Amino acid sequence: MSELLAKAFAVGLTVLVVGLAGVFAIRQNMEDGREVSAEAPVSTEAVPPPSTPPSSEALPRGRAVFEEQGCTRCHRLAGVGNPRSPLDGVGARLSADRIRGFVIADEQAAAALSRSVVRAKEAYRALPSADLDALVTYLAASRNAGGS
Amino acid sequence: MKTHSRGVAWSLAYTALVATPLIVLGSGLVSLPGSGWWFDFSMGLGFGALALMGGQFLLTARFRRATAPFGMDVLYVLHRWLAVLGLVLVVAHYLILRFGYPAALAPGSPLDAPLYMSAGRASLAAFGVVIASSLWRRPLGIGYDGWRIAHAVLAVVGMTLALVHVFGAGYYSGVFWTRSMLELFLGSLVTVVLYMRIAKPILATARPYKVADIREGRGRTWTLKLEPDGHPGLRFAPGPFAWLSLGRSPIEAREHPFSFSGDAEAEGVLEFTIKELGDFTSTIGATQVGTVAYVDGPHGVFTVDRHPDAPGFMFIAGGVGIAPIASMLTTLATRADRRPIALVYGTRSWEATPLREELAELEKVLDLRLVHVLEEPHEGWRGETGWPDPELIGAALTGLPEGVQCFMCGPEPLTDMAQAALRANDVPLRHIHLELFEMA
Repeated sequence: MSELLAKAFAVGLTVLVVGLAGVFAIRQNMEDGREVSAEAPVSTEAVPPPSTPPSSEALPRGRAVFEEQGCTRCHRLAGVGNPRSPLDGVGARLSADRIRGFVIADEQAAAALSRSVVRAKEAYRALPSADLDALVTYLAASRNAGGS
Repeated sequence: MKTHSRGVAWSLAYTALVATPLIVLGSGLVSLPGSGWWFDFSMGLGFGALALMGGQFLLTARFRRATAPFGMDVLYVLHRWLAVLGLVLVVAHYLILRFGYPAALAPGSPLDAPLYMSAGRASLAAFGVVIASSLWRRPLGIGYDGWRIAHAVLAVVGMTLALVHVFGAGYYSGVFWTRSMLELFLGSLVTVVLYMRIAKPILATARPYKVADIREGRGRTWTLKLEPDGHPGLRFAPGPFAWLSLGRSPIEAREHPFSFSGDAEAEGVLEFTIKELGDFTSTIGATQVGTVAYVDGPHGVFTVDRHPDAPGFMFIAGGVGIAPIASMLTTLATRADRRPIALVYGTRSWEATPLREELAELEKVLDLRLVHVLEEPHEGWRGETGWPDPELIGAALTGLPEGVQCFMCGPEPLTDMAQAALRANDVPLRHIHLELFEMA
């Protein structure tokens, strides 16, 4: 009898854990706050678009850097990547300077990020400056939270 | 508190422990934006699996107070089931990401992936190896001693890698409440492992035993008699088992579970009847008198002492499964217990029937009806032949008063059959007690 009870308890406990995981997922997604990136708080005033449009080479280069550097592991942009920290519309929320700060986890950004994220981002300080510029330009060009 | 209530209380405590990480995550204390239902469900499964796997260390830590209401053998059944189900959750956690969010997974090669993502993959592999090598230890030809050490090491490695993965990912674990909970969880695991692998063996060295006698029995069995060396020894109820290590330091973790086969009323002296089977037991006969031994026990609930009001007992044994039953019978005889008892005992042959002579002596002093069943009967054998069957068990039962407690120990086909036979004779499940001997 005890053996049967042990098996039933194991199954029951696992069902409870799966159920709690489901409830957790529901609660996490109840409010429609997904456009808000965990690490890029909305600035109180919308950032105006850049006065000069980015060069035609900068955007594809920036996108390539975004993908090559594995940014999609943690971020989603234009429907690609990890939904955990979406970056769609980041250009309307943060200035190019602040975006650069978040990419390389400068002092100001580091205060808003967890230690492990700061460690991961510090590696991007070694990027060639042309690549970093292209990446920032690419991110700053995303002005629509809907993902375009 | 009664055993039943204690069992319920410990089960609830264990459930609460395993559920806590997900309750904290879903409680609203962790206010991070969601990432889509499936993504967060996958994260939830990951945390749930971590809690289930972490709980395994507590289950097998042999805390006697917590294991007493259940029996260690039953906890090992739970251990096996929870480990497999926990692994299923880890695999589900991975597969949801693999198919739903492939970009969120780092490259498979550890050279290109961040350490914490490779740690997650390695953890999954380690748990897979731990479980496969336990479920199929015998078919894979893995020796018990080596398996036991590898099992403990790989389980700790798997858990460490899982924690590196969670802390490294750093999303939920970056939040104060989750981080504090995970650190508490980690601290408890470290404490349990240190207690189990270091503190407990060191404490055992203060309570050594000496082999006082070793005698060869029938059916390739040996009965080992131990006496406490410089301490009063332990008291046990007849029937349970202990982990025994012979001639080695208890820190080496080379210990094996065996049932006590002797008289529980004999102060200090312990007896184990052991069959030559595996790599360790095949050398048991070479043990020298005077060899130092360490005993961790008693463990288990397979004992008549938990049923003082039983009107009688029914025992069913196969081969060396007689050992714990012999302990109960010998103890009942010492106590001059006159309650009616039946024993159905299946063995290969009359010559290979362990403890045959001892049982004959017990028949004289107990109200015991002993039915030997021989698989290979010799010429002139007038008793039962083949394997114990439902008819034989039904017949043995009819001679006993209603409400007897039934105990069985032996090969699984025998105990499965015996359980079904007892149920068919309207014996309630709570009166059927089974000693399982798969400590893996």
